Amino acid sequence: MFTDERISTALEAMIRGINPPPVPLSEIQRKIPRAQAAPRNASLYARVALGTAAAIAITVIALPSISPAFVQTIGDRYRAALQALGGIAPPPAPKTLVSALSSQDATLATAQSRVHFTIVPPAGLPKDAASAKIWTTPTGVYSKASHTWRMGSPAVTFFYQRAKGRSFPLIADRFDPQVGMPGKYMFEARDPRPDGRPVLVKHERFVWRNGNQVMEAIEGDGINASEIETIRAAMHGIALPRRELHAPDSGTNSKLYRIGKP
Amino acid sequence: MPLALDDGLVESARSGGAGLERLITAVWPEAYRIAFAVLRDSGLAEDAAQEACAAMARSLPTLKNTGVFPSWSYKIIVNHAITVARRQPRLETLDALADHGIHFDQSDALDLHKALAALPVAQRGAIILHYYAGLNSAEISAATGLAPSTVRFHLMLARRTLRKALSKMDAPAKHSSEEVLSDVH
Repeated sequence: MFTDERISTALEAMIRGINPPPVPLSEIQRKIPRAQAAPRNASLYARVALGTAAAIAITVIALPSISPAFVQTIGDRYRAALQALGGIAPPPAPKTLVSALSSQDATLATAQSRVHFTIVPPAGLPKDAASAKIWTTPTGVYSKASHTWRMGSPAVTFFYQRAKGRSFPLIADRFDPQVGMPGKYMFEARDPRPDGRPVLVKHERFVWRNGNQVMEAIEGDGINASEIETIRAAMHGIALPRRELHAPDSGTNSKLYRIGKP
Repeated sequence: MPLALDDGLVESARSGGAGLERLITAVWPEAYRIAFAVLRDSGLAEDAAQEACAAMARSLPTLKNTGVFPSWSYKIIVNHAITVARRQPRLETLDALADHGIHFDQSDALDLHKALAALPVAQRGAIILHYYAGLNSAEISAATGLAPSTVRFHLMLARRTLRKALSKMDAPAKHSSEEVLSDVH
């Protein structure tokens, strides 16, 4: 009788009967970078991705229940996306640094005591935004010049729940003129396609300044661009110029990669 | 699932260099065999296997759980084989297999080779992922981008073709009713 087991057995025998040629290692290695350069406008997106490397990290910081392992995974995935786009991703942060990046729940007052800028809390929130949770997270800063990571100053995350299970974060940080002009878009790396190419989801990034505070928000499922603009206007924030896709990087030596774990 | 690798080997390959070379060397024979089973052309199979190994090397840092490396790699290999087939559908006939020094000792294997030759490339890929790599229709769907119902339909058609082909080789009259019944189940 012709059973499924027989198909499996015959298939395995058939495949085992195929004699492979010697492994063409050098040819495969030659194809690895070529495959990376495949996406259209790769260098363009790579610049943007590199300039806005905080995109994934912001997501990490924003989700209260994320495990440290997931933080590391996100970092791996983001590096892979950057490399796939032809960019140069920073190396993984040292474990000692990652383990030191522990977020702490806070009230507005305690958060203020931990940071070196004057916090201007969000205003003009969507009507269904509720149950704000606040925490502070140290950041990791990577120097392109010395190729080293160091601990940066803490940022403050305001996390809001909305109707229909939606949520969004707003992240306040100290304004640092050494950090280059923020990119207008961020790319979130999702699970790769079956052929191994990364899936990048584009999000618009909004950045505004109040005194020595800079606040960031990313449009997405939790909040749209119009709602973010309403918040910025209510806070009387000054929108910071953002780097368009075609604009070159600012050439600053330090890049901020928020790798803090909640 | 025939591809069995040490987790440490996969983990050490993440950082590239010698670790990655060792992993590629270990995966290559299986990558070539699978690609050949789908494509039935040694040149195309080598191209597809090379592309698949390069894609694995590039995507390895995105693999969250190294324990799933075998099924993950099978998906990549079969997808690259199907892509190559669509790009250049010059598929070799069974008669030419001997030219590549490919021989099968078991009659079932040879029969299956003939039966597979009658299938479209996508069905061939689905059969290999299901019966060889052990993936279910949902996993094949995720790997190929086809709807699960389409995968199940492909598998059903492919299974029916294989059963008919091999049953004729066994005893044509005796098993015809069994084929119908097993398709219903």
